[in-house]
Amino acid sequence: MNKIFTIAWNMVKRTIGSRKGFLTYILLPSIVVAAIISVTGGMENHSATVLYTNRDTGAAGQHLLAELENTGDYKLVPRKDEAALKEGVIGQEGGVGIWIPAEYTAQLAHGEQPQLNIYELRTTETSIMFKMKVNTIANEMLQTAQTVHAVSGGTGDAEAGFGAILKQAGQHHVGSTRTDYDLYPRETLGVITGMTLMFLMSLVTSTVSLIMDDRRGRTMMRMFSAPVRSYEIALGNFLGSFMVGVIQIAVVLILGKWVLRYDYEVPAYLYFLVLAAFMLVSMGIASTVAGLVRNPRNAGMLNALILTPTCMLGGCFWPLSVMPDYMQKAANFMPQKWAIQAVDIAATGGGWNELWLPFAILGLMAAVLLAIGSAILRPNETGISA
Amino acid sequence: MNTWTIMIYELRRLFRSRSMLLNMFLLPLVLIFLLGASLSGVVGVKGAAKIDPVRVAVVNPSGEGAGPSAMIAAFLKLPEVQKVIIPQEAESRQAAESGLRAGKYGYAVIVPGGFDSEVQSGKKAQLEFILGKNRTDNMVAGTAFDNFLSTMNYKQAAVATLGPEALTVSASLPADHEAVKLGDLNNGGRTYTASQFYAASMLLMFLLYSGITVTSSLFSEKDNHTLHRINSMPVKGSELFIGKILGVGIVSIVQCLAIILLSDWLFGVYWGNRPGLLLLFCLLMIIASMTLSIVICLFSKTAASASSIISVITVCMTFLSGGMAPLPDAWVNTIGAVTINHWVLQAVIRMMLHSELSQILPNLLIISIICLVMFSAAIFSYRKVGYHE
Repeated sequence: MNKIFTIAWNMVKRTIGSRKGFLTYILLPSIVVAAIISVTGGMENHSATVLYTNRDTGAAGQHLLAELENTGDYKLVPRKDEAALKEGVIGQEGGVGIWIPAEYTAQLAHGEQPQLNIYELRTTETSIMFKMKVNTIANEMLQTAQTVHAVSGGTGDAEAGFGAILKQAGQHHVGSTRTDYDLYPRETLGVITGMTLMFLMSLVTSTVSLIMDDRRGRTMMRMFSAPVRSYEIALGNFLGSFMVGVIQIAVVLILGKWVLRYDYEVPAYLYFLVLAAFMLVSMGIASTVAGLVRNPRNAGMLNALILTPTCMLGGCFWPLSVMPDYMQKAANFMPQKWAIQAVDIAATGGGWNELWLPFAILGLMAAVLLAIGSAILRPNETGISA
Repeated sequence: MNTWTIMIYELRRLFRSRSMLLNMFLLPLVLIFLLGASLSGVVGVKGAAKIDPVRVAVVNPSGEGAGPSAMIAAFLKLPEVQKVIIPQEAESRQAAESGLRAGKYGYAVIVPGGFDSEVQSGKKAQLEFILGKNRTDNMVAGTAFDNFLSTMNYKQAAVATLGPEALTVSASLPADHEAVKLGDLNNGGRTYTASQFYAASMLLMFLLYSGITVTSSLFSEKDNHTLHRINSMPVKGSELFIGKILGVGIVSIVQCLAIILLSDWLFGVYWGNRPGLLLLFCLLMIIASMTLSIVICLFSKTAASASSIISVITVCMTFLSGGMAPLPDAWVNTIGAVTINHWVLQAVIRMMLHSELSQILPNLLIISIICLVMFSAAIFSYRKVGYHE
């Protein structure tokens, strides 16, 4: 046992013992992660910019815009014509653009079914929600217009009646008030956890590359000639990089929670546990890749590039619910998904009766991957440097 | 002559490495596929296909001479509502609230006394919603009730304006009618899809990543102590350096072509109507990223630190230019503008959308200036530091 700790402690000293090591492995990454946390946390109450062009002179266009403004989720900015609107969306001055065609009200009132145009440069959660919202309002207006049509039987000033109804509806006599006790986790928590996971994963690569250096420099070979067992070497090395990782997590959490005052909405020890479990898995991934790839420099590159696709699939960048079904199934194989889920469960107040599942899965992944990854400790192969 | 030999050897070395091939050609395609597949399912207006029903506490008291609201009760019995909402009677507001806090309910709806009569007489009638612990549940239940209320709101308005006969006619609405269509941003040419944006941003990210190849190429000679041997040959230092950089540059160009062509063939990503200009932009991007990594490599001591600095810069630039996760709109044109990606990304998207040449030229000017600055910085640092052990 003593020998394991000696090896582990040596590993810790090598990584973060010097001032430069402390700067590059602990301070710099923590500041980056903490900065991302505070930036993303600051996005919380920001309302998306929506560009619009209203060619319609009647009541329907105005009603639609008023209703959108009413939701409080969007900042509406006018553009003078369709070309300017497109240009604005392409220049990313606003996330979404909506174009209300001329005669929209008149067409609705005469029983036709005109369509609104929505422009987006890329699909995001905001643009999906916006489309759903506009669709709901537009369908209500369509229904109302048809009611007017049916009642008046096509006689009389359909447009005026329609406008009057919309004006009346705009007063929201029937509606709802929302009481919010802040019981639910904030929207940004998922993104913040995702970003933290991504950076943790890339950090772990650096400690695993130390083990690789040992192999390449044939230090590993000498270690094996000392009176230590191979499992002690393996455990010691993994324990060492785990300890470095734990220190990194602790610094990130402390910076985020007590210096930047970001409220994680999850008990700090639970968040810490989730991140630590995830770090074990990413250590496993890093060492497995290192075991499979002979050239240590390529291993680092491969690791960096495994990172992005798994983070995408695991839901670090966008909520899993927007992805198609088969992709959500594939996401089950990503450790990120389970870590995010664990944080989610914890944030909604779930106890260990729900939390055990993500933790068990993370643990299992870590065990399997670390077992495969311990192959990198084979002393006799130094790796070719092609 | 020496330069060519070194370059050809460099190319041979790079193309023989299996992991490099995986990295440079397979991974970008996997990423483009992932992005396209994850986000293309949501292009339609329809919501998620599978929704877990939410337990909603309904407080529906009988008060002020009226019974419990029949409208709400009828609404909750509709089959399509039952799919998303499991109504549960709660006695009072307090009971519902404590149930919410305990996680017994996902959402709570408080119906005021005499809701129905208020609605029918055209007066103000408001339901109270209490939000629960789960964001998705809140959204599902909130949307269901909101749609119900807004239909009622329009009906009430119709009755108030047209008289009671408005209730008797039932508006027939084709079930699958979508009142909104996704407009085409394009100025001619093929239809623009959102996956094109991600394809472009991934291409640029990988072009930036090609800097890491520079690191491994420059540092492997040092680490293997072969640089000494090469220096003892009749090869000038500059010839060696230029040869190596040319080799890596050619691989990056091949990679760029492969991503563009394969994503076009396999996933139908349309890259716009100006292939020449597109390639010019990619070339400038490659020059910028390679000169950037040359500067970093020359000033850092180990390969590990150089490649970690490069990958941090790459990820940060891609992130800030909005290529990964959506950023606030205001950011893209302010903070995003300090990244190299931003200028090329905007230009590539404009090409995909068949914009006028005059709209693309400013970006070309800026990226050329960036390249020029980076190039002179690379030459300066090579003069200053040099490439030797």
